[in-house]
Amino acid sequence: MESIKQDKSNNNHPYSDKIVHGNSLEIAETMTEKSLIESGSHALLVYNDMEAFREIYTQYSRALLPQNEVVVIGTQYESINDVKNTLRLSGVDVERYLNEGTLFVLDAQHGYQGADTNGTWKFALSLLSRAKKEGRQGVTWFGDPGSFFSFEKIEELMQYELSLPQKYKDSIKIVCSYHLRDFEKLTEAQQHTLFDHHSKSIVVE
Amino acid sequence: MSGNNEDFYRNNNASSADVIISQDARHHNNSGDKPQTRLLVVDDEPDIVHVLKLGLQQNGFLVDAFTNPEEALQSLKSNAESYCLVLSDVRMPGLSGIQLAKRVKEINPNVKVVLMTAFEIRDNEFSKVFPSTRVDGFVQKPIGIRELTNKILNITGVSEEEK
Repeated sequence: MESIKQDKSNNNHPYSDKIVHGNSLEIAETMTEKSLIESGSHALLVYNDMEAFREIYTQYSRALLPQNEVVVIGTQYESINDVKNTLRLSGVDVERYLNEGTLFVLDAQHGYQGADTNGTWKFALSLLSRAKKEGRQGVTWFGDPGSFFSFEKIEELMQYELSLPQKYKDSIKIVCSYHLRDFEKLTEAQQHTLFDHHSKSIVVE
Repeated sequence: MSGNNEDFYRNNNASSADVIISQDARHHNNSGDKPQTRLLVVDDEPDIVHVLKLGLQQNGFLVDAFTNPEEALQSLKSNAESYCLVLSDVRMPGLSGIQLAKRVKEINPNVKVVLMTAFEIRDNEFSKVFPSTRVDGFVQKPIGIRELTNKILNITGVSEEEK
């Protein structure tokens, strides 16, 4: 796991201590086994291709769903059925967790570009409330904000991101999951703003 | 991606460089007596690109296929008069299908654009955001090659014999 590293290449960079780099396998393993993302985190994930994102969400779901975690995958570039199939192929008992209400696979674009952008966030909070009542470990939310780029709504994206807290008191983990090709569309200043606002940033290489 | 064909798709990789180079939208095949229609196919999933390219070629089209929409646009710019139709996925990182359609029409308004999606198609989804961008057709994935071929022939106005 040596290649998982914090970005110390530029010690003057204000975010160098917050950015973790690694390949998808290493990131997935560290997220699941070593709690790379702590409870209450609002984290930023930049994945370099779909295979990397699949690796991360499948490993995470396979490990955390049996531990009573609620996992939400807000997909942008794969269909909902494809995500479910990917999970099934990796050995996740998708039907069981869907029936239990601990696994949700959602169309991220529908959530972010629907009538109420904050509807996604409200839904996350309602899930958290229910998870508490049911004695679940917590809620992890992978959300791909790619639709903001498709609809050329970068200002709205920045406003939405900055409207979310940096840290949560509750046992929720929000992982804003950007495709690298989208993230590169942001200006350097916007990228820095996002690195600054998230409690942890993970870049898959 | 269709879950039913997952293994097939996953085991067949195409790169963005995997293209056929040709000169005119209505090409002549080797026998020289029958024009062929040239298509530009774009999808960020390499396996889908590979399957579409293979299937459409087998149905008589000339196909240039790309996984990166920016590279596809470069090809279109270099050969602006060569393509009859662009067949593109809607949801792609970096440049969406609708953004690609907008730029294709700016380069050559005569090129038809058909968008594919595995998600529910909402008619007004893009028209609100890009009211001036015209798309010539939508296709719901998964779709069979025969049905897709018929759709393309309908939109381009090319007959089965002519393609």
